[in-house]
Amino acid sequence: MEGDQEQAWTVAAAQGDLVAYGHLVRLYKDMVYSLSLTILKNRQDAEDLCQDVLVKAFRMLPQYRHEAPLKAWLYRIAYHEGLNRLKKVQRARSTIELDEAVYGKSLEFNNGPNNLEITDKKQLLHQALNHLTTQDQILIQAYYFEDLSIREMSEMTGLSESNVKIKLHRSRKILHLVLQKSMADEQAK
Amino acid sequence: MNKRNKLFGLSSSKIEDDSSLRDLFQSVGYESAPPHMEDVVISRLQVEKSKALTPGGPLIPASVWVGIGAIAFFALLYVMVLPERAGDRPISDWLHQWSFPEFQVILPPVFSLGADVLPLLIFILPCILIQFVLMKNVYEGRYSR
Repeated sequence: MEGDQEQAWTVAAAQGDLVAYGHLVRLYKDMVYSLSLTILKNRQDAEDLCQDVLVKAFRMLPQYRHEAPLKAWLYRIAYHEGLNRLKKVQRARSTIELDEAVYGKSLEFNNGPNNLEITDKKQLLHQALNHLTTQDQILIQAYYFEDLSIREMSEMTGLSESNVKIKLHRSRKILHLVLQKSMADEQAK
Repeated sequence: MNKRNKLFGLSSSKIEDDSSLRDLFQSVGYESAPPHMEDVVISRLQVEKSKALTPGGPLIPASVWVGIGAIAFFALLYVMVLPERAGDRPISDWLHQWSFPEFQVILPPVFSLGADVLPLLIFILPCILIQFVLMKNVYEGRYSR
């Protein structure tokens, strides 16, 4: 039912219906923004990138062939746009690391009862993800968070499927180690 | 079990489990995009759409193109047909009626056009005219997308 609705919005948006596209933007803006933030590590840059990706996706919608889920298609656009933007941003200024302020600020948008718990988890996860390269961060998030298949990730990055698997395996190992160490440290306190 | 482990709902040994890592990612959720994101995107698209619907007038109106075409056609006809019929050089005769300031440009032989001036002009003229089309497209921002 949800998928049908999304498909209907996609078809209408491809024909230029901005109301339908508004629904799709509402569905996927957080995903695109999160990926933008993972790549650029700066809120302002991520916001600009997110806008540009969503505008570009609307222009490209008539070319969308419904072979892959819209989510994976959008993710791929955001990934490539993000890497291009990263090159420009890196040339313009040195990359700002995600810091406490970034996660502190996320409280503004998460008004649920478990804010502190979520922020705590975010911080821990962020610390662990910081041990990975940007591409590995994107891959591991695409796999665990977006449920993209190995094939979709391979198409997105241009890496072979076996290479994606190796990278995922290595990243997973690092994450396990870092998270276990964090927990051991907490228990020791 | 300390506070952080309670947050995950798992022990450090359980974190080896792949699904626990997935659960951790899923429970953290997305970073929320700024609330105005949707409005900004849609308004940008609306502006783009309205621009596309109301294109500016052509840089070179059709009447000018007709004029250029007519002049080019009759000039070519004059050069190609009349001299043969009259057996002389009407253009140069006509030009000699006027007293243009004279100046001499000495070009190295490589710039010599020789007898192929007319075919060369016929080839170059469309190349020059096509520049107007390219300029028009640049002016209307069609190459920026």
